[in-house]
Amino acid sequence: MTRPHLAAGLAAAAAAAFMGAGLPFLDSSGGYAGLSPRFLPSLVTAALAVCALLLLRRGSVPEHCDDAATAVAPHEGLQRLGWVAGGLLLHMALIGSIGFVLAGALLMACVARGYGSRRPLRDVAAGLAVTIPIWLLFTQALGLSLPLLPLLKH
Amino acid sequence: MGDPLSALAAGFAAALTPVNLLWAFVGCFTGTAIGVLPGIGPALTVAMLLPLTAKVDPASALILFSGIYYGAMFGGSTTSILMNTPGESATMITAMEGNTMARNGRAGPALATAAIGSFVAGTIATVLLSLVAPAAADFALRFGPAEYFTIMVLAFTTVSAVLGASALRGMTSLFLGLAIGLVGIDQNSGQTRYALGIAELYDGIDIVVVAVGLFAVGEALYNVLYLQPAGTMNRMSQVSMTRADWRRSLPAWLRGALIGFPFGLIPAGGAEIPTFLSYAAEKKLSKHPDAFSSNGGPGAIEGVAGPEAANNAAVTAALAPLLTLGIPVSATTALLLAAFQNYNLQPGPTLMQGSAGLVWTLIASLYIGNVMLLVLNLPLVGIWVRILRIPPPLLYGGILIFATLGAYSLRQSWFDLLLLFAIGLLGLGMRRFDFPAAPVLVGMILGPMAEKQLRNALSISQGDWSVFVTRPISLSVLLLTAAVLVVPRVMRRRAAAVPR
Repeated sequence: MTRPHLAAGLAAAAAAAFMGAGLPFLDSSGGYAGLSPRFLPSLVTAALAVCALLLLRRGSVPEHCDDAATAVAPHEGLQRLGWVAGGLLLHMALIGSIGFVLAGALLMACVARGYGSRRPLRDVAAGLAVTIPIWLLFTQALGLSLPLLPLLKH
Repeated sequence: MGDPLSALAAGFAAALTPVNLLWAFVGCFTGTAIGVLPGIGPALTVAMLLPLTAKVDPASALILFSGIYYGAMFGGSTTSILMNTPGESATMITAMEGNTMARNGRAGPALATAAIGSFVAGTIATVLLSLVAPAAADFALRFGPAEYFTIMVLAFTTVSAVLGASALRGMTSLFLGLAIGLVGIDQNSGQTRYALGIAELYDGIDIVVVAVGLFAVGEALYNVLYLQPAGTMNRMSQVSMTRADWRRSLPAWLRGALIGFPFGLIPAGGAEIPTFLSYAAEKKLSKHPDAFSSNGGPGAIEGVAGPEAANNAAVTAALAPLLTLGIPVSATTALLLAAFQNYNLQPGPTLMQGSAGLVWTLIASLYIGNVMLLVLNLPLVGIWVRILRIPPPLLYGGILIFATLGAYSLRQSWFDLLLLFAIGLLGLGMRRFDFPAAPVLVGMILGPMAEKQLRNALSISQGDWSVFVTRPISLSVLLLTAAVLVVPRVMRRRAAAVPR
């Protein structure tokens, strides 16, 4: 099983490439410290590249196998992940218009569905039971602004 | 700075007002309630509750946080003992030994020795902290940028290369954290780096988003992808210890506290090593070595008492480098530093001078938090056990509501939620491929500080890099850094070379 190191090595290489691609946009004049805003990014780029190379080299040598239970993501695993990830993205898209309380309840329902719940009404109710007290705490006790229904303001 | 005792008395006077006691209670209660959730450690608890401090005055906020800090640790060991799901590596021993005890019908004594041991060790460590902190801060006043920079290099090295299973993985995490810390306007030159023209990124990426994303969102995504069998819960028993339990626990608590404190103190943090050391010591000294679960026994109470005490002493001592040098050495202290910065307070020797009252209030509130936890939590253990019965779908839904709240309440921007999601995916990958998260947090918060100190040091020396090896303190710290890198390796090689 060599995939973990390969995957991690590729990810580190991508990060190094991203950091490296940004370097030309940075000022390289060092002032009298002789240290430009480009210095640390260059160092980080180089270090990430070295880490990537070492990870990739380890990935090409058969090494200790990962926990068998987590080795492969089964199809239904991805489907479950889709519910949770979708819930998070939906929450992000809607929170500006339906507010924290309702978006949070919706998030709860989606996440619970991903984790195998088949009782959406209970999940929404549980979500409201969490978000309404938080909303009361933030707006009434702490005086923070957390609009209930931002949509209505417009 | 005055003498520590009267300063501490003033700290108590400030912390013991009814309002602040209420905050201490709220902190202990919410800290325990969140910390008890499976897989959630103190760092994540602090991160999720950070928004609570936005409208509270600094002293109350710090009191709230010390309650959360201790409460989360207590909650974490409760979960480790009852369900064997450690929220962080420092409670791994508790999970192993305490859970074995719980499976053999001794959950109550295990919980009691963990709670009382945490109290004893926390109190000893707080006393030592009150003695050490002023002296350390006085000493630190002599430090210049060169010294600070080398100490930060030491912190980077230990958090990434020494702790954890693999130096390579730790280093990769660290440089990833440094890269995240680079995003935004460079404080020294005013130049914007890696913001990709996105206005939300000019201020940099908030540490709360990264911490909550890596821990909470990453965990929720990981667990749904590789659905874990729900941990089986052990039966609770009476939360009391027999006379023999006391006799076996007391020396273990004291030894654990003395092992844990120095490890937290040096900016080479990490509570894992002292908990392992304490466990090894107890196993060696015990009159009942057969009882230890690593020897196939039913679980030994010393094996819970010692490591729990060591853990608590180490995390309390870890506040010393944070308060006196401004250097965080763990994920939790990195978040506490962020809490300070929210109030425009920069921990370090000047804080001990300029806002000494605040620091002493914090130290006094550590004592209060310790007492409050002991008084509250053992009687309330029934409530915490009920929290553990929340079904996973609602548990993870609730965790993600808190996580998104933490990110969204920063500035009510959907962009922070997008970042949270992206970092959650990163956390999923890191969890999957076994990369540690603490170096990311320490790197991102310490990176910009280290860059600033490096630039200041080189400005003073007019670009001469030899300044780091010509000043005695920075040279010693560099040698220490080399030692922590080399010595464990040599020792491991020697241990391997010794024929059986």
